[in-house]
Amino acid sequence: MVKQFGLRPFHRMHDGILIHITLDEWPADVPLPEGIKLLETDDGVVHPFWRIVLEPNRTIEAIGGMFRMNCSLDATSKKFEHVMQNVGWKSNGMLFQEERRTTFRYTHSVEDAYVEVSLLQSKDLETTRVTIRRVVKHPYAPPIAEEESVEENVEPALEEVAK
Amino acid sequence: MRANQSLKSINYFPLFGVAGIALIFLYIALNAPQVTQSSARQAQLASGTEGLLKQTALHLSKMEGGASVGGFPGFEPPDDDERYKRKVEKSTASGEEVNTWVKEINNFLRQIANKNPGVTLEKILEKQGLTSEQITSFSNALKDVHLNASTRVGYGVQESTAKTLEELMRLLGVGTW
Repeated sequence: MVKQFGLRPFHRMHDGILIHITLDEWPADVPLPEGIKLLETDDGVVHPFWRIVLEPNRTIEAIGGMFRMNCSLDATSKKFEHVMQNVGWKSNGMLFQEERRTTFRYTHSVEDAYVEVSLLQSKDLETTRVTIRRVVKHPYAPPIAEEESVEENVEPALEEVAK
Repeated sequence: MRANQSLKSINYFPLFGVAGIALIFLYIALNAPQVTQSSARQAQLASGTEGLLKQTALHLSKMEGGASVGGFPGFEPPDDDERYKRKVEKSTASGEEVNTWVKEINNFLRQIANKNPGVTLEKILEKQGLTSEQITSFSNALKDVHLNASTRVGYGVQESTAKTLEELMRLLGVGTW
């Protein structure tokens, strides 16, 4: 972790930064169904993260979190289907289905964005672990280097003076 | 007449005999290629890859509640260790444990990548005989593990462990985001 002297703690990753967020900061466009709780482990609650990945021609913004629902996989998937459709995400359906695991994918109609909801039902069928990732890809064009842009502007002006 | 009839039956015999043999060949032709294709696929995999894939699936399963991953058998925690069983089945492992488990997965993935240079995980699993749905299940388990590790960065999971996993996923053509 980078020394805590900024507005909030963040982790420097090899390709960007990672910030842990609270449940209040979870994006409103990925509504969480009623009764969902953050996953609790032997270390305590696992907080979601906000990751910014810097690539030469795009910036990737990923938000991920792990949760638990006190109901079966079927009931959880129905709840997610309902809340996601209410905010306009287009369902691409199930990516795969195994005995206790499945993943749903949703895409956005305008932005280059998707949400993947992975569900894992516990062996006793009582709870379902929910893993959510919301990924937005922002295209990026690096600004033209200062020298190049100055040369482009100066050359026509010099031609004018020569005339 | 009798002689004629018996002659006719003798004349037809080679015809039925040929048809019968043709049917047998057709049966073999329909069934044999599946066997030879399957063994050919297996043969294309670098030696030791199958075992490494099984080990990877088993370790992924440990982080996926012991559920089956890509059709491989799920991880069964020992019955006499209730604490360990709960960690696996309820995904309550600590950050440090997740770090260790991800390192193990990284180790298997690195060996798979080294044995099959330039080949994607999808292709490797295809050669192993997995269906497209099973391949997606395998890749998604890897993505879940990646997300699990990302949530614990700074809380037991080292940045270098997460970085290695991402590099290996990229090398094997599995999208991280």
